[in-house]
Amino acid sequence: MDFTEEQLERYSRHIILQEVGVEGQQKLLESSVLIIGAGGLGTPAAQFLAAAGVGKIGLVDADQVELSNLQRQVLHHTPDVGRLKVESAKNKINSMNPDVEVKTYRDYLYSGNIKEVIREYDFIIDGTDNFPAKFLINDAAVMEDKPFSHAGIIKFTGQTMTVVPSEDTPCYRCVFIDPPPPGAVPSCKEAGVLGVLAGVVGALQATEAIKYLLDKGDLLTGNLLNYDALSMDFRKIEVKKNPDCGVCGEDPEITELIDYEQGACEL
Amino acid sequence: MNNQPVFEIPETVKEDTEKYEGEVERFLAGEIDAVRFKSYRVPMGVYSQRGAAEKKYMVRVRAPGGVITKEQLEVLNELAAEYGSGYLHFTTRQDVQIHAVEMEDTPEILNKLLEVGLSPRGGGGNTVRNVANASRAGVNPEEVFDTTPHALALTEYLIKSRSSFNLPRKYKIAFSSTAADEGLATVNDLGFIAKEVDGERGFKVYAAGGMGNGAAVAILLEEFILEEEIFHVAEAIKRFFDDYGDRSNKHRARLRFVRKRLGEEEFIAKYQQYLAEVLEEGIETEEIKYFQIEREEVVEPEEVNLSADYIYPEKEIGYYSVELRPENGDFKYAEFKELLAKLPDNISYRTTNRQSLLLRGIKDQQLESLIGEIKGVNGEFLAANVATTPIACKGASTCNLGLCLSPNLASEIRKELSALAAEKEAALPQIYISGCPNCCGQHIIGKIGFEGRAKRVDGKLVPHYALLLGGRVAEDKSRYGEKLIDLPARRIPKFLVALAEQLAEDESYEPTKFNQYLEEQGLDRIEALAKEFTDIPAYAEEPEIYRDWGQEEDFSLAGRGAGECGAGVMDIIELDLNTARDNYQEAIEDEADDLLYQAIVNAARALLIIKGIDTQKDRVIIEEFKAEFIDSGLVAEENRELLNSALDYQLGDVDNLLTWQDQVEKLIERVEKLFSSLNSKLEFDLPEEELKAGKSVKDEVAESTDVADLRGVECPMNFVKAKVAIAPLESGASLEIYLDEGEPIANVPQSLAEEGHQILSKEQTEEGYYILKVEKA
Repeated sequence: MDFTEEQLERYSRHIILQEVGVEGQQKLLESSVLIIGAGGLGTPAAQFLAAAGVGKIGLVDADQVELSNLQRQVLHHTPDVGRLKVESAKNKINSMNPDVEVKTYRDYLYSGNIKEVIREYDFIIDGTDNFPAKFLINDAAVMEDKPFSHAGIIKFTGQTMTVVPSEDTPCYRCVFIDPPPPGAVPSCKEAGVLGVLAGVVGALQATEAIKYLLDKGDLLTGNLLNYDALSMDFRKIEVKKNPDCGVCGEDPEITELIDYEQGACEL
Repeated sequence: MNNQPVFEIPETVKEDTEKYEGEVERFLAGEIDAVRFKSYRVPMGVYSQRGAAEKKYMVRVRAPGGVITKEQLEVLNELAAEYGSGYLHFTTRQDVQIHAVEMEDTPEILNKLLEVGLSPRGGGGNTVRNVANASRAGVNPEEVFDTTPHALALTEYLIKSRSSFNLPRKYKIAFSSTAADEGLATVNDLGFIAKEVDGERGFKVYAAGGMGNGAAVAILLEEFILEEEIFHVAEAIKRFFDDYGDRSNKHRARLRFVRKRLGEEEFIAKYQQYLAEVLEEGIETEEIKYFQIEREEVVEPEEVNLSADYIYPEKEIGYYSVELRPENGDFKYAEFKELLAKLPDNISYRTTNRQSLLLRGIKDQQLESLIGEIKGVNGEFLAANVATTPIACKGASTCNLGLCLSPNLASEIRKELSALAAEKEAALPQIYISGCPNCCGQHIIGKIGFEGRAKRVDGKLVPHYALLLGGRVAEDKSRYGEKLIDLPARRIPKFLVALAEQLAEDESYEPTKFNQYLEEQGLDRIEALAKEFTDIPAYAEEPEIYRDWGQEEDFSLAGRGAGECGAGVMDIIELDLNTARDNYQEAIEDEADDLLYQAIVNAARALLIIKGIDTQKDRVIIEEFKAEFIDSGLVAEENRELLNSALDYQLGDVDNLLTWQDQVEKLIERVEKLFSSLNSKLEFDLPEEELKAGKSVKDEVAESTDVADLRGVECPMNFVKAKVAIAPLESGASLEIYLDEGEPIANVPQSLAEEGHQILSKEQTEEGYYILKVEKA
């Protein structure tokens, strides 16, 4: 373990924690997390993971920063409007913490490329804003045995759960089975979203990633956490593994990834 | 008023000397280890000496403000004869050193010194070092006032406090009584130049200067302070330094690095905060004890020949000072004893910052006979011109960091220049020599300075010195000399002779205005002259040039290793690496196997110097590289076969090396990476996984971390660093941690215990810090 003086000082508040310590911080520096979607959920998650010294962060997003993003996507600033989101976020992370290597993908992930991308990482954060992507990530992660954190937000409520396929924990599809038909659920463009909600939930996802990497504490597996910002209720709903789950059930019928149809929206 | 300087060793120093005696006993009885003992020994001014077959020590005795009495000199001389190597060394910081003493004798030496009011306490380590003072203070006709009482009072004030002995690094203070800054106030950590404003005595104050690595001329701290405020300013700087000095890296710890880090403005602002705090709090200052040496009035002064520059007229009409300049600052026992016996009682003594001894208060009528007496003992003590008495550090003979044998060069220069006619001798200023890029010989303040280095010619090393010109020290005008050209060590005395001749013939040149001459084409002329001396013939033609002065063997860096003087070693490594790169490029372009072979050998040779190996034999280079770098895992195992093939190639068993070209490039890259990771201690400073190119080095790391010195590290970083030190240990292994008193010792053990580690013991040392023994959970 060869920390520089600067690193010791930077991570001192981590190293002091018995649950992190020198070894834990070293693990973080040697870990990698892929963040899919550099938007409302992805940017706060990226921010804390970078600050924590996660050695490699992958950022996937094909979009450019728009003015309406800035209300919640805190890594993007006014001069970034029009820049690629991944570039804008990479730029901020680099100046925040030079220990972090940032790899950017200015792509949409689909059945043809997602497996290859997620294979490189220890943990995945789903920061996407649409059901086709969420199911795609879930299925690919289950097939590739990659742990990931799911989350979704709308208006004043958010939800998140963690899936660790290698430990056979319930997956997103166990709970939600299939995406709703296009147009059935309003997107946040139509419904609106409280900016800070994205921050809270994205930060929860980062917390799960760090706990997983450190192998400390209890993960949000087998539980869907529901957060209502108006009533300030956090509610954990226990979820069970679905034996008939299309991807992780006893006799999974989905063996190839599916690209569901739905227009993307900006979270 | 007193009739002589008054200085009293504080009680605390006497107590500390007594405690030291106890520690020596414990050390000799094997009750404490060498590392821990060192923390008592070095701040007591007792240094370990290198080079000797059995362990010997050097005692560095401070002469505060340069003040020293005949009785003290006699005692020092006797101690050198009885316990040491039979000579006294006068330093550039007005200390007097006794060399080559046995550890068990040091308490006795210290006690005998105390009896005559001397102590080496603070001679070394991270302490307030000897407070320097212009050696002519009190007798200089140009001076504003005598700064000696101030230097003494400030010494008393600082050394009575134990906190002065556990600073981030050394703290050097100097006083000058004139604007010419004879005391070097403008190149010390803290410097005072005497001033009188509206009839009030006071000082112009400089800070954060220094000559070692990261050399910097001091910045102006205060335009004027009253004389009684020296204590407050010195205290404020001490506290500021204590809080801001970087204890984690001793090569970047001095006050000038704080200034570099904060910027000048912030540095001064911070100092002012500390000063305000000191003034508000109020400190117990010492009395500045003025003195006046009673002297008979000389009514009709005699005419005195002042052509020899060792004679200085004094402030009081008819009185003179004489400067004794023993070779390399060393007085041999018998000669010094004879000399002291001959010197009349009315004269007084000062050590200087030029490795010399100043005799003061010599009456005009006494002068001639006294000079005769001195010359009768040893004519060399009175070299007529200061040019013929170079100042040189101790060099590579005793300092295993050094590159060149600087005292030998100094002796050669002295010999050559002394043979010149007087007007030629007088043409040159005093010469300053350091055997390596460090500044122990103060070469950067010399109008002419030399800095030792090594260069490789035809695959062999040639000892060189960089010529520096134009250094000077004076109020607001101090600047360091600039490097002009590298000269082979063997050519330097002849070059200086030629220079003296050229200058003596040059009508536009005045010896007192050397730096002005440099500005008016002098620099170009000297450079043109110097170029005539750079030629290096082949080894067969002139083997001497490949040897340092006083050496029968060829110049080599073997056995030189880690240390501050590593900078010279770095040049050589870089040279070899560049050669390897060039060989490689040419080999690829010309498809030349022999050049590729050269590339391999040069790449393998580059870093061997650090391991103390310097050889011309390819076979040895390759074998040693395998042993030192591949076996240890620093360079990947896959290179072993490459090196074996290179050997086969040399033996003629293989005639194609070009198939290895990719591997050669990897080898060069790896060596370059290791080279660029070298820290100032010449250790490879790479993350552990990068150090493990082949094999684990973890075992070594674990062994070397049995002591973690966390003094000066504040909460909570000390806990962080303690965890870092514990992390690589096996469960059940133990570690000693040094912690400061107060918050650190109150918090860290508790935090470690909460993590399950076992605190085996907690012991306070005499220095005030604690040694904590911890067993890993």
